[in-house]
Amino acid sequence: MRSIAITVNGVRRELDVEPRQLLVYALREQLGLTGTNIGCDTTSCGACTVHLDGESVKSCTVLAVQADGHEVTTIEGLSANGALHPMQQAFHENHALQCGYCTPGMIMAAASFLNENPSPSADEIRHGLEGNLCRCTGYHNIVKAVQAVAGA
Amino acid sequence: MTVTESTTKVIGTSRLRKEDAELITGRAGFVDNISLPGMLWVGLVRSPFAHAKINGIDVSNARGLPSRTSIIPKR
Repeated sequence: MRSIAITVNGVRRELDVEPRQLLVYALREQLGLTGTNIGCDTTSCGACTVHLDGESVKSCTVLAVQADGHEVTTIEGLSANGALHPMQQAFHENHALQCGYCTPGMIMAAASFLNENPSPSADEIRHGLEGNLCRCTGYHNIVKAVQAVAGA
Repeated sequence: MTVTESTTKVIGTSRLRKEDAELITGRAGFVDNISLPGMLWVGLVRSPFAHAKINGIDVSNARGLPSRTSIIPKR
């Protein structure tokens, strides 16, 4: 076991993990943050996307020990003071979700993407989110939601 | 009967979903998120052969697992 400290959603958390432990399992099972979903466990679907030092990563492809000393933001910590993050609000208003399983990862990826490219074209949004799969085929409205935030 | 303005406020308009709040904030109750005191997990071991007759199931290795609660062989 390795002792690590990760700042998760602004709070320093100390935990003991096996060296092979994936970040997503540390978040879900050790810290109880089940908002980050596991879709495929193989880096294909993006459901487990979180921010590591502000940049989106698939947390099923990051070892917990790699996050030692770093900052992680999950969907639970994206909004502050009970208000929705603009991307969460836009997903709601643009019907960018149906079953909602891909949504936490999709929102985290979209928020990070806009930090890199604040005024993207529709094509750039689709390219930027190609690592996140939605099987309710909601991509059209997801693009609309990201455009709404970019244009706000 | 006369159709008035008030009867067409819902039909033909886009409605905001009521179920979104928990889904967009990570509070959704997907089955894998549920954790209850004393909860047990089940692991299914299926035949590695697509079309075969099962003559017997040897559970002796499984019996040795330390955290096992029960084994239910079924064929």
